[in-house]
Amino acid sequence: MNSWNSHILLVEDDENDVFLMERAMAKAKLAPPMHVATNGQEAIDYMAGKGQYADRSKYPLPECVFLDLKLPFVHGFEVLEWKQEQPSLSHISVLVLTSSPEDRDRQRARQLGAKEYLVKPPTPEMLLQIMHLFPKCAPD
Amino acid sequence: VSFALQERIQQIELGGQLQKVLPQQVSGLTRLHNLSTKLASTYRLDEAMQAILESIVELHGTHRGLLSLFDPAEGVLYSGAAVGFKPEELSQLAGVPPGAAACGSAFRDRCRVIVDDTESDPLFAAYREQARRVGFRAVHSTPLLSRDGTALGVLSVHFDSPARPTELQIQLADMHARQAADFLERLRAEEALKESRDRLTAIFESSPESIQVIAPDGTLLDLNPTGCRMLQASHLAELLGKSVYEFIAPQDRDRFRAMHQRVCAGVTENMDFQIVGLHGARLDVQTHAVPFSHPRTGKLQQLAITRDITSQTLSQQAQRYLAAVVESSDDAIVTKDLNGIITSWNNGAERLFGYSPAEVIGKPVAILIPQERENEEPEILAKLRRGQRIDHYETVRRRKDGKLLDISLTVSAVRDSHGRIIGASKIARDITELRRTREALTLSRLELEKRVQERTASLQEAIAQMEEFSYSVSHDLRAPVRAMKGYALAALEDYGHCLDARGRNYLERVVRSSSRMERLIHDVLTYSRLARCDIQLQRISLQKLIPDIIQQYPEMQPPQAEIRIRNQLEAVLAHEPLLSQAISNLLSNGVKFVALGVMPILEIWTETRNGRVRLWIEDNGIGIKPEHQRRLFGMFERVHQNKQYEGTGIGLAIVRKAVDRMGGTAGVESDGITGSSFWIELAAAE
Repeated sequence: MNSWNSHILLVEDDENDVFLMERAMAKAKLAPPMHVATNGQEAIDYMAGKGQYADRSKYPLPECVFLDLKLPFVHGFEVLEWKQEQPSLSHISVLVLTSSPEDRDRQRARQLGAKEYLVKPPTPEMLLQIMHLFPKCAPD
Repeated sequence: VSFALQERIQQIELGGQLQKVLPQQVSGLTRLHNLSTKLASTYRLDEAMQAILESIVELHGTHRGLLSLFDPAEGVLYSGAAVGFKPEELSQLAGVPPGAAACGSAFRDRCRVIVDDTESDPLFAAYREQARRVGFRAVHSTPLLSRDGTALGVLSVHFDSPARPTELQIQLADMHARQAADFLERLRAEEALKESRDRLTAIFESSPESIQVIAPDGTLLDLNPTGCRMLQASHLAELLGKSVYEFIAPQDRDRFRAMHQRVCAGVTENMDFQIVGLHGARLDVQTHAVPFSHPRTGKLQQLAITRDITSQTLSQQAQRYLAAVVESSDDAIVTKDLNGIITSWNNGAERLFGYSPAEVIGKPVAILIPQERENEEPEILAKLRRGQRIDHYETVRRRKDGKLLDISLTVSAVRDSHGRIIGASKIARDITELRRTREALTLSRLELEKRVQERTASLQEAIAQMEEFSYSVSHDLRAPVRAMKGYALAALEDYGHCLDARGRNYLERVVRSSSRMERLIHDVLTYSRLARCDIQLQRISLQKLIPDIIQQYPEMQPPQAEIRIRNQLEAVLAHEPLLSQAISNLLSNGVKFVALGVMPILEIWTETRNGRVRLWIEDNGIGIKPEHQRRLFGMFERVHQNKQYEGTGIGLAIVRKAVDRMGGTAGVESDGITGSSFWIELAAAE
């Protein structure tokens, strides 16, 4: 059985997409501890350990972040921009998971340091493939 | 008796005398008669004079004589004929001035001089020695007098011994002198006539003007070479005897006829008209015609001298034409001298400035110049004197009523035939209207630019909104579809066993519909993206691109399908993403629309025609009926109803849009039964 030991952060405002992500994870037999941020600001706060997220025992830093682009208040690209300016968080990989197949989004995400660009919906195959990028998440 | 006897005696005495005189008279008359005959048949002065002299010398019963003629140029008498003199003797006698010796005196006094004895005649004393040397003792000189009494020469007869002339000899000498004078006069008259005729002929032949004689009925009787040339004839024979009216231009014929009739009635006329040559060439001519009486009949004819004035007429016409141009011009055309004094003023100037020619000619052009521009005229004049031209100089001038006009001025120097500047011509055009139009144009251009900017801005906004819309479509429209499909699949997977077949079928339909919705959204986005993306045409190798495309789609590869490339594919000029999109759409259609159970087999090749490459994709599919082919490339057009061939109806619209944007065309050939052949045509690379 495969497992995803390290924490992941899913930045997603649509609860249906959260459901689809969880289901794909389950179908891929990956069960990482997953935290959800429902907008860009929350994602930044989480990574910065601000407010309620200061408690790292409850909200540990994730190994990787699945980031939607179209988010309320703070856009996914702004999250990427902010993250680029945080050298202390450079070990965290950000994977964009979006509805947009547009090239311009794909290019911009790369420029802002996204490690992968994935188009929704997430599938078990997709998740198993990218899992290899993360040694700590390597299957048992 | 005595009376009768006396009469008889007288008769006898007379008869004796007659017997002596009569033969002499008869001989003299015979000689005179022969002489006349001879003179009538000769034109040679020396022959005639010799004959006369020989005749008279013989009639005087002597053997010496001299006929001297007066040379007016030298003022001396010279030997016209001589009998019985040796050449050296002649040379002594030659060159006698009037008044010298017997002949000189006879010449000077125009009367006979008889020296009956040179030894005793006191008047001859000075020449006595000469006479002795030559050897004559008497000389009788008779002058040759013209009919008007002028002395022409002297006829002299010399004798070896003293001699007095008889009455008969005197008469015969006079008659011979008369003959000689008449001959001389006739000869001189003939010479004068010939000279005058030669002169006239030369004038006639060489005159640069046509000279012609026309009979009262219009028949051309004579014409000089210039006239022949003017009528385009190479020989006079082509024209003589023809009616002169044939050569008069129709519009002038009646006028010419009337003129001709007046001339034949004795009036001298001048007339300008046009003639038409044998080959149709027209000349403008001017004729001077005089009545000329026929030498025999005395009937009046027309003798005329005609000049070609075509070039003159043309230059006059050109001048009239130019004058008309100036007069009818809408522009004001004014000339002035170098002091700025107006010398001419056309209608346009009158219209523009309101002054009549009489009001301004002779006045300074400065009356047209507003005060604040009074320094303009000296500047213009200075430029003109330097030979410069002023072109389209925009300024302001004042009308007679004081109103100011915007005008455009063109001023150029007027030169005389030696090239000296003598004044200027000035063309002024009212540009008030033009200026207004120009201002209005500037305003409307600004207005237009503003509007274009506004439109551009609103268009850019619309495009931005469109892009925002597509962006939203790709993000937001997809989310609910994805959720629908995701939950339906989850329900099927997790609760499928609790449902009957119908319940499961309903969920499957939800899954299929949402999949279709996803494809539609995807295709619409693709279409709008390729409709607005920036493109750059470059050389694309189809030989490389097509296998790359096939590589990406398992359904295009064996065992599911076979795609054969028939020839070395030509390279095209295209934008790779668009071309790739178009070809992959065609290939997926090709492998999709086959009859159930048939393995799709596609053949690909290129053709080059007129610098363009046509890529053919032939399939073994179900084909497209000709009546549907027209709609095939439209948006959302589907020509197969069968659910088996479900599609979005956008794929071929994408192909057409992509090819359009690259300057190409797309089409299909199919009989609707045995497959289809799709093609796209693009510019060939190189």
